[in-house]
Amino acid sequence: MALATAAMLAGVAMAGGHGGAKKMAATGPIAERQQAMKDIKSNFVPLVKMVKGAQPFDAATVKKNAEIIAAKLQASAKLFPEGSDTGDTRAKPEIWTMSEEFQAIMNTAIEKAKALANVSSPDQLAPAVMALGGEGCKACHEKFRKPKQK
Amino acid sequence: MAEKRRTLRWWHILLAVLALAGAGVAFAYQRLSIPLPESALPADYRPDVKNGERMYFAGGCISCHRGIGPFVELPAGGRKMKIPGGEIVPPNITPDDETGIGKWRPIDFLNAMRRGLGPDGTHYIPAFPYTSYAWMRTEDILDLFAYLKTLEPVRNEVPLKTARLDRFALAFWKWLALPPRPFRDLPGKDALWNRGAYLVLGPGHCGECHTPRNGIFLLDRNRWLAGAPLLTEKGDAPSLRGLKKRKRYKDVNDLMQALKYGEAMGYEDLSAGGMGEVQSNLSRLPDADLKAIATYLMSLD
Repeated sequence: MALATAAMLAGVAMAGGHGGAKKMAATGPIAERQQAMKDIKSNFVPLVKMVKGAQPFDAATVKKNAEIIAAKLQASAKLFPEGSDTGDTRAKPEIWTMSEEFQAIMNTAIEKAKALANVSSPDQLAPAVMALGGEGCKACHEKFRKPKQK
Repeated sequence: MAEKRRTLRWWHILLAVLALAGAGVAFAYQRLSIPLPESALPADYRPDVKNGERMYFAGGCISCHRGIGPFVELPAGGRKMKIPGGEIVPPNITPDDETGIGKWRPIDFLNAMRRGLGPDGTHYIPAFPYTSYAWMRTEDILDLFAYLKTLEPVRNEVPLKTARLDRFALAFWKWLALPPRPFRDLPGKDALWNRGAYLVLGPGHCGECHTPRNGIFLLDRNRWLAGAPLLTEKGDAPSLRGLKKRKRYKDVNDLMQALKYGEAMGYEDLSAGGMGEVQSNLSRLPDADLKAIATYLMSLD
């Protein structure tokens, strides 16, 4: 009984350890670009809230967040090397077969993020946010992101 | 005499049964191929082009019928589309006389939308989602037709190719797949909910992707909008049930905003798998319709 319990505990510990090791090993372009996307989202959400009036407009936050988004986008443009289309990723092969179009949308997104950083009044915010979200996020995901799988 | 009666063997009976069955199938095929008559149209109907435009965007016609090159904003057809078992090229539905629907009569359009029948009697394949459009009201279909007639005619020949056997089988499949009659409001529900249900079932044809299908490709109505594998690529159309319980959207207004703005306002996963096109089309609908759709969808457990 005790032995079984010990084995079970060891199993749990091992499973835990394995999970940890997996997390530690989460490097490489796929994990890095996924982290970049998460960071972009967490910086984009507050700006959307400002557009919706759920959060007061604050030019300093807009500038800071938009600059982070621009930097993360710039970094992720380099995180799609050849061969990083397999594994736990929703990147479509078209990223590599239509790489010019992919890079063009990336560049548009970077440009729109930089424009967003320069927004100084609340009435400029909605169009700038939607330009980044529409011509950046949406335009790219429409063509280059696989749908989720159950 | 007795000698003669004895020659009636079991295979004679089998032959007779087969012949009868064959005649029955042929008869049924004939019946299933009869188009709706002119009398199916309301008398003296004056179509509302503005409402037709609304139906055009609710249905997202442009997304499959999109033209090529200079005609990218017109439903001039000609783009290849992947479907299970092959590839199709959606036809030209601009009002060109020779290559489009310029010479179609309103009854031809009604037959296409409600019965999946072409003016020449072709049984259309269900990539053209008439199985949903059959829920649409006659007036909305005629308004849509009137709107299509206002578009610039584009000369673009897109031949429709359906194998004879496929067409034959389709006649029977359609008999099973087509809803029995256009949508009727559910009495216990309010006008907004009913409008939403109508837009989702009929013109919006959401069920075609979001509802799983059974072995012979019929929508599984017991799992209505419960999510399904996509037919055009790897991946799933997500479930639209329990959106509220799963906290996918906060409330009706939140889902309405999501349909209106999509990822432009940070609503994730409304772009991939063809949904980006759907959302772009839906964004052209008036707020009242988006609210109706959101109201209906948020009510599904």
